[in-house]
Amino acid sequence: MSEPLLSIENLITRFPTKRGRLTAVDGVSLTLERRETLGLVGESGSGKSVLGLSVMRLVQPPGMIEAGSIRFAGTSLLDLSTDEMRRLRGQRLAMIFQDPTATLNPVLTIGEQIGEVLRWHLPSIGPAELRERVVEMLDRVGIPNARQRFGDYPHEFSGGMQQRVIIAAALILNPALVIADEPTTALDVTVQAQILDLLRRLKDGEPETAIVLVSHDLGVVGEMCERIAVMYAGNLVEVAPADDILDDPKHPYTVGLIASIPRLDREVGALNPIPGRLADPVTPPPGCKFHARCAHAFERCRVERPVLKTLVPGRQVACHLHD
Amino acid sequence: MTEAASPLVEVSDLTVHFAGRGNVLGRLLGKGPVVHAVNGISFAIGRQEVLGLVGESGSGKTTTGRVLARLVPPTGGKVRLDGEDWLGLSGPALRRRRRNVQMIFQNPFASLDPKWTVERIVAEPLKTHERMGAPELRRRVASLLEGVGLDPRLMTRYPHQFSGGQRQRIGLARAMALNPQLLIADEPVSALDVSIQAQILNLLAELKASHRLSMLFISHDLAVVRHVSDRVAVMYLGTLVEIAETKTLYRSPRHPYTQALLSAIPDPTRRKSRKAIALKGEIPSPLNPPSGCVFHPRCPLAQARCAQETPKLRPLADGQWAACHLA
Repeated sequence: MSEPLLSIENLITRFPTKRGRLTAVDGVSLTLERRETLGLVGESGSGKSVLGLSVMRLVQPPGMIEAGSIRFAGTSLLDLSTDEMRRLRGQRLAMIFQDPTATLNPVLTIGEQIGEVLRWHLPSIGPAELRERVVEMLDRVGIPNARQRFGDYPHEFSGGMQQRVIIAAALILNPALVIADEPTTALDVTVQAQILDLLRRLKDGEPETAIVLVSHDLGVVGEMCERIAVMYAGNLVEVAPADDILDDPKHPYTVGLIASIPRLDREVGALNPIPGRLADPVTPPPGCKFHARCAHAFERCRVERPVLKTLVPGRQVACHLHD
Repeated sequence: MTEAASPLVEVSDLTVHFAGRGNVLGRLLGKGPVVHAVNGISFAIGRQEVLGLVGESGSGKTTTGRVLARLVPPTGGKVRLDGEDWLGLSGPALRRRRRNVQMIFQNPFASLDPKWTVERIVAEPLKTHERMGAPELRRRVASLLEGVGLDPRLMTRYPHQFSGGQRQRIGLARAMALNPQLLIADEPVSALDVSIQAQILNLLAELKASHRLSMLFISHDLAVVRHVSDRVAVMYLGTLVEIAETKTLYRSPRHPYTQALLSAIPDPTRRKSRKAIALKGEIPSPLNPPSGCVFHPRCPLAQARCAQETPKLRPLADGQWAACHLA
């Protein structure tokens, strides 16, 4: 069998704070196959965004990757120089962020911004060809009158259209992996539906691209992804095919997360929230980090941290109940 | 109609226009662009009823809530509160009645003064509206904090020492201090994680029952709105397009916008059956709303008539009203 596209081993990313070191990603191991769409789900403080940034090597100092390895298409990303990594980003690896206004440069036209990606990676490209390729890409992401809008500035576009521009910039070089961090969270529901539909169509048209969709929204992830990885307090607690996670969650945190969501399809009485809140990430509790909020916790959960184990082929869970 | 059976809030033909940016000369001459935030909407909120108000950006849902809280003056229309002309009140009469309408906001950090202790924040409305000594005041604050699930011993702390969910509880304690008749909740759980959101939604349900509250619950999240509301009103671009009992609205939405909105939500419970109704284009600018039905440029069913004639909100069956020529 060939090597997976992405393979993360025991990754640890920490941020120094006044009170001590905050472990945002705490020993995560995860693989992603070529062409796969994986949902990375968690609440605030779960470490899902930092995990995405770690793969891109975009963790903001003083935060740093302290241990572990990331292999991408046969290359060890943590061994690359800054220049080598920069060349890889944009070309083979791309990232889409939540807030399009913060991603786009307000004083450059969108044509210049997308063109910059091309010029950086294909220095010999001529102006006419560059313009053609940018217009074609804008057209593919559903910007009406792409040719006329090439010279427009970001503020002349709505939030949904700006996110399309960013998707165009991310995908123009056909990267093997796109990490999309909450790409539709800032958008209205009907616009979100359009963007999700666009991502799905682009994926079907570009079957070589794998996507990691980072989101707090199980609804979005459930519709878009083949597999879901659930994070809690820096750890992966459950990884499984989307249908298995949503229909038959195994980890008590995943169960609680799904029970917390108000349902559209029927009435429920009171919701069943997870009691308490996330433990302090600087001084995490011993044992399972979820034990203080878990109705099923027993003695072992308070002393021994569970590791991610394979339950049945394709399903992994980090919980002593399933040992 | 008897006093008890009449609705607590009656909004009729409410209109709110803001001056848009435009150029300086235009503004000086009063001829600048106008933001049509709310365009002649009418609805009522019953006693102890939760009315959900849903819509996307630019729908006017937040502006509507702010008019009801008397934070924004309307351009036209009337609001009656408990039979009284609520927008006509001013001076001492307004101050006396103001306690009956309280509001909580989306961002519990921005709405709490960071330099004040929790005790001072929650005590403030009591000091303004009621005379009581310091020990009594402290007892009331303690019992209000308990009522929202916070340890009263934390009252000497400052807002930054609390998490987002706890801050929303503090905001609720402050809002409940004067035992209001109407609580206006503007996206109260949108900034919270789902597990915390569920805690706050349950708390709102408890408070509603124990305080016999009426509520205007404003949100973009249709699943949350379904969970808390007795009836739901849907706004689009300043217009009320549909209003109905919650069950009816979710089971058989009649306005094409409501139908599209409901179909657009990714939902883990119906991920296989969902068929999204794709809407064309984007929400138009409230600076220049479309003619006729404001939804017609995006409506999959639009006909010639829809571009010319503005549909009125009219009753269908079962207390369901929709503003659509085709419904």
